[in-house]
Amino acid sequence: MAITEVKALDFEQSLAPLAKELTTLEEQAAKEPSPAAQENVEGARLALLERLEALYAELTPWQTVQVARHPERPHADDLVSAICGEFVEFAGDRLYADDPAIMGGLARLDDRVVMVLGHRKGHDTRENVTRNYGMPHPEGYRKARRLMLQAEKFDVPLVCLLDTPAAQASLPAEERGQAWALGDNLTTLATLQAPIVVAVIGEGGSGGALAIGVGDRLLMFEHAIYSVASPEACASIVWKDAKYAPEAAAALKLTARDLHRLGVADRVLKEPIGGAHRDPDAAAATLKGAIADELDSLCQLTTTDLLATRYDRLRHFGPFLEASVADQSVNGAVLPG
Amino acid sequence: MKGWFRRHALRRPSEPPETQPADADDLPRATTEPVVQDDLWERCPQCREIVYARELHGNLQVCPKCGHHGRLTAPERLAQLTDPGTWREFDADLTAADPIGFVRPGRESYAAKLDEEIAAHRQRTAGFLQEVGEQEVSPTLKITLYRQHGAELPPEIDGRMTKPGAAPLLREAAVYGTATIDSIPVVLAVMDPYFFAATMGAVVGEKIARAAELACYFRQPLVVVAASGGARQDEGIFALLQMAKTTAALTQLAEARLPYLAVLTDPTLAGVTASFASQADCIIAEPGAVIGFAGPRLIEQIMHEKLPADADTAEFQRTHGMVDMVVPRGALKARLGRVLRLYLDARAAAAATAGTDTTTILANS
Repeated sequence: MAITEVKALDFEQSLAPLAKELTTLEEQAAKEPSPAAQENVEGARLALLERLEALYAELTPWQTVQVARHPERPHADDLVSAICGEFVEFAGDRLYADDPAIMGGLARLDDRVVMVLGHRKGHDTRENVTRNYGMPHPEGYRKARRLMLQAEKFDVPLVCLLDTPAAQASLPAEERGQAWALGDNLTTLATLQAPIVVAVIGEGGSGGALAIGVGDRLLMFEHAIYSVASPEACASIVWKDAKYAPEAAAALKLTARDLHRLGVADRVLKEPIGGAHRDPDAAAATLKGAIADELDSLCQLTTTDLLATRYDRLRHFGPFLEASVADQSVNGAVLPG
Repeated sequence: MKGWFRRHALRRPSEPPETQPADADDLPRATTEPVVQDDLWERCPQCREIVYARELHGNLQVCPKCGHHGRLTAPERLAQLTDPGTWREFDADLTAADPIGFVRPGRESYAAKLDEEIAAHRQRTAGFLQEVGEQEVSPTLKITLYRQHGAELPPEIDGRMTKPGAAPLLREAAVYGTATIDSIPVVLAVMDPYFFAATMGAVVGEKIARAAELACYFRQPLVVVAASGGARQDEGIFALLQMAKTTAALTQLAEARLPYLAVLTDPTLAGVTASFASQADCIIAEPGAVIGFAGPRLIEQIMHEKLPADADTAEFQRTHGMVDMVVPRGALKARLGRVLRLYLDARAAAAATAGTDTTTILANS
């Protein structure tokens, strides 16, 4: 397990001595293999894993944001290659361009054919420049919509993997109607005649995530985040300064645990110790199992029931108070308690 | 007359309103100019000319010198668009919960912030609501709010309406209800750019969704006058999910083949543009309004580049094919009437051809 080979985050610095010790012991064991050396390696590994587990059990919201954004975290394309037997990518919105920040295509998930959509971040700077750090332009959302409609046409489920800081905010994005592209997708997804399973695998950033994220089930990786705005954006709006991002991250209740408690996330997917980036294959296997489970149950519903249940779900998002119905009664989702 | 002056005094941006994605206050304002002391006068934020406050008001907050469209409160907008005596508000009692226990700077609670907004808004609109009712200020501004327009209503809906003549109680950034526009019965929702920067939380989302459902129930067109700085951060993920909720509700209206008209006013941004505001059959924009996704100020911050002056204006969106027409405020009501009549006549003709019973839409028009 590559627990020491990934880039350590700031809050993991306290583990550096243990990690260093493990690396040294591993080198020694490689040079002079012996049962005793191997035992030392195992002992050090276990000690490190224990500390890592303890650390990750108590992540602050801001630390969770760091994990969700870890550059080595498995991205949509990594997960699709890991969980799909076959994936054929489709390109272009047939109007303007292809957007590398969104991927989409038909895939095999065990014995099912599914339409997969996902935000696509890069693995290095060059890839990130091409993929605009996973921030789609309108053409990306329009490509996604084209493929959503194909899912309905060919009667296959839709699987959406969310991992974006936000939709692109720039003059070209405005000229091509970013807001209109996002809104069209929300409308399309609300009544799409296909089961839709959505999983937040990293960053669920605002409308840019939601525009491929309206569905019948919402799964979240344990250390993924999902929020109305990035902590930095929220901090600039409310605190008038982006440096308050850690405060905003806490205030927004953006972790999987919080969102599950609030009734927004249906299911939280356990990550390997120390985060998905420390064992991407294990994370992929968990994701695959969960998607398959949800599709099994959704595919049993008639289209009428599926759409009625989805409408009901969307229609009741968000608690508010209504004095005339009952004094200060709370409608909608569960309040934090 | 005091109410008028109080309201204008409050409008001066002595403290910047809490805007969401940065652009709610995009148009240049007289913040750096010396404040004009006399409440009788206001300085146009665009041409910098001094304008007699009552003249500005009589002109629907459109500067008589340069045509700059100032923002209207929801009551002012209703007075502008609805036929006298026809507006009746629904579900005025919806108020925001604090769904995520949001902690604001200085440990202020969301509830406390909301109370501030409600109090400030009450002060801001009190003058208008009192004075217009009592005095003949201008025929176009004769107050028409909160009076029933005669239609028989089923009891379950009747209970959700304000009593005729009830005092307006703006407790959120949107109101919705029934009215006639140019004699056409419609369901109308209006957002108020002065309340919490017209940000969308669960109440705004719920009112838009219920407006769509009410339009289906009455088989009437839906008109939404949008204005928004975006999603309300204090409601976290639930603010974001209002985008999904409102667009879902609008699919019912589309399925019933009822027309939906949106009027985009200054500013309409972010989560509101990217959900219900962009989904109308016909989109009308007010001249000069900032309309878009991110808005020019945020883009300039992020991209570190100066945008052209017209970026994300109504005219820019018209050029780029995102809105159908840009209509000056003075002509808006008549234009809404024309467009609505065409949609409704088309429906009536289709129903007649099909040999089915025509809908009740045209009954009062």
